Amino acid sequence: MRCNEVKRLLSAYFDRELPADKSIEIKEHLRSCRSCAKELESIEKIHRLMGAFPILEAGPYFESQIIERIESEKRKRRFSLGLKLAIGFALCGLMLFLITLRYLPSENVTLETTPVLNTYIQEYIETYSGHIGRSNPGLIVSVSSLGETSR
Amino acid sequence: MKRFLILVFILILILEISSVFAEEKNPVEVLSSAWESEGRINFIATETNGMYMGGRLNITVSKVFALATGKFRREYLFPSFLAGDLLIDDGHSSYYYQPGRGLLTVGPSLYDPQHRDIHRKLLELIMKNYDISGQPDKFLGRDVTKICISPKNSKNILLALWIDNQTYLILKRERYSPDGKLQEYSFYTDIDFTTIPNERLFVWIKPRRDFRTVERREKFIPLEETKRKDTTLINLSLLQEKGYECISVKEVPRGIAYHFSDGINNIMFFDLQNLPPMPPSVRRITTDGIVYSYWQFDGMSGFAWSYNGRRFLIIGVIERDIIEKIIKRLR
Repeated sequence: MRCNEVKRLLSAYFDRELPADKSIEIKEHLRSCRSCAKELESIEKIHRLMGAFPILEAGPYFESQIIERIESEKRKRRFSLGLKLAIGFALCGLMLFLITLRYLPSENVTLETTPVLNTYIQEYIETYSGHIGRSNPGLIVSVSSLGETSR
Repeated sequence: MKRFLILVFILILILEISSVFAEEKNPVEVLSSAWESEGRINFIATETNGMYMGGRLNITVSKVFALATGKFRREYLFPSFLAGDLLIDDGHSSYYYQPGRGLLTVGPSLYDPQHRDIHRKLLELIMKNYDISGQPDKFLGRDVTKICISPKNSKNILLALWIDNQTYLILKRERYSPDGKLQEYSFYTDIDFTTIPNERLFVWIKPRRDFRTVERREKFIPLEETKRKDTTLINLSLLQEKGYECISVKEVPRGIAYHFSDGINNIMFFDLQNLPPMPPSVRRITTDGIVYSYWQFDGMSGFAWSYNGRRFLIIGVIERDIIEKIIKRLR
């Protein structure tokens, strides 16, 4: 037998699940092949280590608990998806609201829509804010840009 | 011991009373000195201005430099869309440069004789129409006189000024509407009277980048000339009854503007070739076949109408009865 085939059957050989003729062939091969013998040793070692773990008995409701847990995970995923969708819709709504707000006529006199009137309003504002030594055209720019947040 | 304590108490009392009397100044004199000292003090400061308009508080913060020779510089720091804007008043012209817009607006200096004349008239009207009271106060750790200006026989303060006792500079001002709402304020912080700003700060230097220039020249029309031409507008006796006077007349785009004031409240009366397009939110009132457009916000009203080939626009803090009477008088 070749090494590849022996290594594939080693686990079954260890568990005595192979027919007698195959077991004899593998036994013969292991005598002459150091590599396969080492592979068998490592299987034996793993088996010993696993034998050291305590055997846990499943509780009477183990199966139903597993099913409940799976369902719960599904519900969580569905809720998480719903939450994400809700946040997404909320953000879209907020954006739409902001865009609408930007283009809706202001409650105030929409000064920016009547630039000629705006020049006269500026003229008036200057009469009382243009205190000598306190010239502040920026304030008038700021006041006159009602509804505008940037230029 | 008892006598000694009484003596000490009396001494402290005398000292306190004398210090109060020593600090208290005549409010009218303080106000006049403050008016006269505008543009005649060297200082560097940070100035904050706030104005309520359209239900919104508009704030500007700027670094200001002033020279006693009537020169002024303002560097805007806030809001962000004004940051970088610069105003230079060299005593002859004012240059307002907006790099964000690539725009330079050249206008008259606020220190020119015509503006100083208007300023003086406003003070006269305040003294004639209003009660002026003063009390010692502290601002920025300095001794100041707080001047309160109220309508005669009323306790409603319309204008409050905190005037520095040493320099007579107005360090803080607050303007209120007749119903007591704060409409506008300004105050200095980080003020430095000891450093004299460099003259070069008040010279407009053309920037390397491209910009367009808009000339904003004011053309005042002498009051006497206006009176001869149009006695209807200039002698609005109704406004005179209310303490208003026409303090300036000047040309504006497509018309003439008459500035009426009682010292604190101002009304601009425009006689125009064409009425400006009105915003859609105006209210329209029709009486005797004349359509009046009316709008109002934050106490500021606007009123426009056409009659007999003439077009009028009034903007200001205007009482309703004034509007009604002006219309009756003019049409």
